Amino acid sequence: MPYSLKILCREPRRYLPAVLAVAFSDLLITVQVGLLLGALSVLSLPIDHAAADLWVASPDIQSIELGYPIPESWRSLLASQPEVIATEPYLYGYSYWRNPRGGSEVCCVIGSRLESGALGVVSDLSPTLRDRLTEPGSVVVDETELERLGVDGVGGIAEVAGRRVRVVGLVSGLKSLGPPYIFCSMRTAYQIQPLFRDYPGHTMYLLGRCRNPSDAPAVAARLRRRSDLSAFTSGEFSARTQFFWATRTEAGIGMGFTAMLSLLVGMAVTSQTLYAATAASLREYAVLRALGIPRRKMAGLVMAQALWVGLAGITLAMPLIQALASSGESAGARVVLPVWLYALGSGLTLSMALLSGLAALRSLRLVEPITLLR
Amino acid sequence: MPDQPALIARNLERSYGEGSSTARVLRDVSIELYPGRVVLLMGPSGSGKSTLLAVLSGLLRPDRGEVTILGRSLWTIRESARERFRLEHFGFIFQGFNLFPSLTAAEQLEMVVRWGEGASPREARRRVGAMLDQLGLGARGHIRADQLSGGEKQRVAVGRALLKNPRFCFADEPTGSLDWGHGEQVIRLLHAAARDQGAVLFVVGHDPRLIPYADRVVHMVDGRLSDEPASLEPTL
Repeated sequence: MPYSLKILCREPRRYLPAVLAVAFSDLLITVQVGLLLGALSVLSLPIDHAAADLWVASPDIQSIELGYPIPESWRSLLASQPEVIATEPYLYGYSYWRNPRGGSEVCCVIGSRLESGALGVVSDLSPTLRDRLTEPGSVVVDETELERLGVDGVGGIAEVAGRRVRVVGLVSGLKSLGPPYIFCSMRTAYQIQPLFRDYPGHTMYLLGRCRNPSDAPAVAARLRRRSDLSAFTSGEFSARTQFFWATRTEAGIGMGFTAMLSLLVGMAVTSQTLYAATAASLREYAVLRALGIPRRKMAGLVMAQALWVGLAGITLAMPLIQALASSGESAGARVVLPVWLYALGSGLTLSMALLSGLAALRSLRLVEPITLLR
Repeated sequence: MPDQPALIARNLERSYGEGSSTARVLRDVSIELYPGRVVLLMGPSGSGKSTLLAVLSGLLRPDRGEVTILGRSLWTIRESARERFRLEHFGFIFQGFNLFPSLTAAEQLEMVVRWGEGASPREARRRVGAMLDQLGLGARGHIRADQLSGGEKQRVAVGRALLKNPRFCFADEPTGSLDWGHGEQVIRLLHAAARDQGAVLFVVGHDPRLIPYADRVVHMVDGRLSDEPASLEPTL
């Protein structure tokens, strides 16, 4: 076992603040970004839960809710691509929901084809619900949105853009971060989205499916050569939507700052702990210097201690992250923790610990054997 | 006495401070040290004993004068070369024990040969085991420094200085923190090492009980050396 680890294990109290600081930083960064990813993943739910490989939209679109109607006739352009085997229109837009009690709410109407193999319908809609939706004026909402929409459940009646609608079914896990999603057929969507009354023959998106999904990036790139449209694979469009909200909204920026702050606090505590630990052994280091041991050996010891502190902190943080994420989920917060996020949090905090070690090296400048002679 | 001195110091001068507050700590000090001999430097506090030890051992640059060790001028070579020189030839014992509290007696010693000479763990263990036996600490090697007695700690410090068989060993008040029982044990160890290894042992001390272990006693008063026979009563 290296000396650095022996000292760390035998003097745990001295190094505990640094280990806790690293663990705290890792925990905060990972859970914060996990929460952000959870919130962002809600924004791209309609894309991620659909079966389309390709999304064609108005030019320069940044996010799914920022689309503008495009001619449905472009469907032939999409269908003419050799790799594409199916196409369909997709409506997405805002409208006004007026409940029986008189209250109103902005809602997000999503209209898609409903038959088996349709590209736009969210996979969470069962065949029974799809059947029910074929009746004009039928809608499906997430069960958690009922209160917001002012209806009691299945069978509830409301008015959207002046048209009567009836809730024919409920889904779960499709709660929106903004206005509630209203899932319906294309026909119903055209009726309850005022925008499309002014744009006959238009759709918000055109969806496509490739024979081989791996061809989608090439098709999207080919279509993008046209300046009057945007084209993406579903993965690209989902990431673009999430990126837009992460970077253009205060939520994303705020979380980024908080994560940076936690890194700085962690670094301050870690570097001070390592500095104090090194400073406490200055006389021992001075003897080694007198004996001709190179300073780099001592620097190596401090850096190794920083590494062990970092690894101990990350190890401690792992179960805490899991526990915090579970309690967040049970409280209704969506926390997305992909493996790469664990790696990112660990990498950042380990780098922070090593930087702290570098900062603590300045205490070694104080090591002078002459100070041992009284 | 061997014919050739291992260390020759000529006309050493060293001052601290500037202007009217300048204190001349070493005044034209010259001394020769021979292998296998123990030299005891005595004198009152502030007389310049520790400064002379620091200058002779390459830890403090003199204002003037020259220190020649094994034919090399110590203060004209580069700092890195001087550091290398200390690594190869010098051992040090200071008044405080200066041991890492959480490392064992054996680990304190192993660290020196592993870091200093790049010795393998096995080689380091072998040499450290032999040294600890020599110090009477064979059964205490696994004990952490903060659980050793004062006498044991200083013996570990002696072992740390002697482990690499240095040609020169500089000791500053090596018995200062110990009762005479333990102090005598330490000076005996150092004396034996000087004899057996043919090393120069340069000891700075106050205690007149060290005198019987010295081949030569040198006195320092106000930055100047005066040589007296070891059998004479020292000036404190």
